[in-house]
Amino acid sequence: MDRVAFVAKLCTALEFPAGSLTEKSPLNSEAWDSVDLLNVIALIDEDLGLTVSGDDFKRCRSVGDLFALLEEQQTRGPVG
Amino acid sequence: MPTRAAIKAITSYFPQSRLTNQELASQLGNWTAEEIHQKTGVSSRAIAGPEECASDLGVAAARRLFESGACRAEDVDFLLFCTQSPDYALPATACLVQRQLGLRTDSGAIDFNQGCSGFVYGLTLAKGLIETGAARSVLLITAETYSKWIHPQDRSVRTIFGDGAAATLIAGVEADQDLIGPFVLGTDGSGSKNLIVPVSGARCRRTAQTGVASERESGNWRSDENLYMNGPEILTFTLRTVPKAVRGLIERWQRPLEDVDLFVFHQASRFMLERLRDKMALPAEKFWIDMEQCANTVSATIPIALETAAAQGRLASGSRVMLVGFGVGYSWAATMVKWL
Repeated sequence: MDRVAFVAKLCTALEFPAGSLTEKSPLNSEAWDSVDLLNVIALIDEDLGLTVSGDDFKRCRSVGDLFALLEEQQTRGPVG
Repeated sequence: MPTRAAIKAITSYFPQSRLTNQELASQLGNWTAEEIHQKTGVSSRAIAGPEECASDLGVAAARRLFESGACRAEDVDFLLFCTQSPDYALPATACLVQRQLGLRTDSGAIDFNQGCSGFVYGLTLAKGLIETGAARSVLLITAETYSKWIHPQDRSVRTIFGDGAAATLIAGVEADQDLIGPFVLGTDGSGSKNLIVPVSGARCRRTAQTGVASERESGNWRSDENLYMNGPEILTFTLRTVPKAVRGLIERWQRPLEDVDLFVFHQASRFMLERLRDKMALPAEKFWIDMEQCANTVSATIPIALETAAAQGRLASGSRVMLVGFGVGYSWAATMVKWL
């Protein structure tokens, strides 16, 4: 996975300023608008072919946690 | 030649009262009318009046069908009524509708409780009734008033759902091949908690507390007597399930995907439909998205879309249409229809 490119797309999906997210940035999806989470789930599906559940996503506290989740899914294959 | 079930006619009906994005924006705050449109693909939706129930919408849609000359009330052998907002817990709304429409008392009439997959499930039932000889003409009414369940300050659902109904006549015709079918059906009740009205039946009874609204996720308000939708989980379910259902249907159909003339999926939201279309690389010109004026009317979206597509000349005799319903339950169903 190209982490730099993915973080850039994550910024776009969340309508954050370009370059404002790094791997250490906190992810507080509880505070997001529900549409933001939909955008990110769709981005992950489209870009990586992985389907992350909203509940799994909410457990990610940082962009780094999200990478760990995505890489784990890539290793074991998508669920369902 | 054997008798095969076929869709003969479809008519829809919407309540007169409409709710625009401008009205929603002024009531909900937070989102502008333009943002609501951008996120949902909806400009306005019809909302049933306080005294207007699923039976009223269904009866109005069926009366339009009779007025069109497609059939007479006395021709109907079986009424299938699909709703998740019935007039009463009992009796079946179908019995009320039989009376209001003046259907024969020796006709069958049942309700079935399904949401977004309801129309395609209705086709499976109608086909079974017709091709076993149990009925010659089946009236399938899909009528929904989700607005009855929605809290006014829950923008996650208030922006995307609208009320409406469709009446579909399914009858037998002599044909050497299926005009409805094959089918792919599916159910996964593990998702039941993600689209639910928690206090709406015998499991959880109403109390003084259950009707009290409180602020929930993303600033939305609702009580346990209101509709709850976990949008992210519904999207995940859809992205996982619908492409598999489409592949399964194509395998059973034994023809290439290119032979499909029009894809009419449940009109859940423009966002979700565009994601599905792109994921499956379906051609945009064959993929129906039209919820601008009616929003997501649950089990009525597919027949409403078919009626509109036919009126706009997008369906001709012999057109092969793929229908896919998916959502609350979880429940999903897909089939092929050959347009008469």
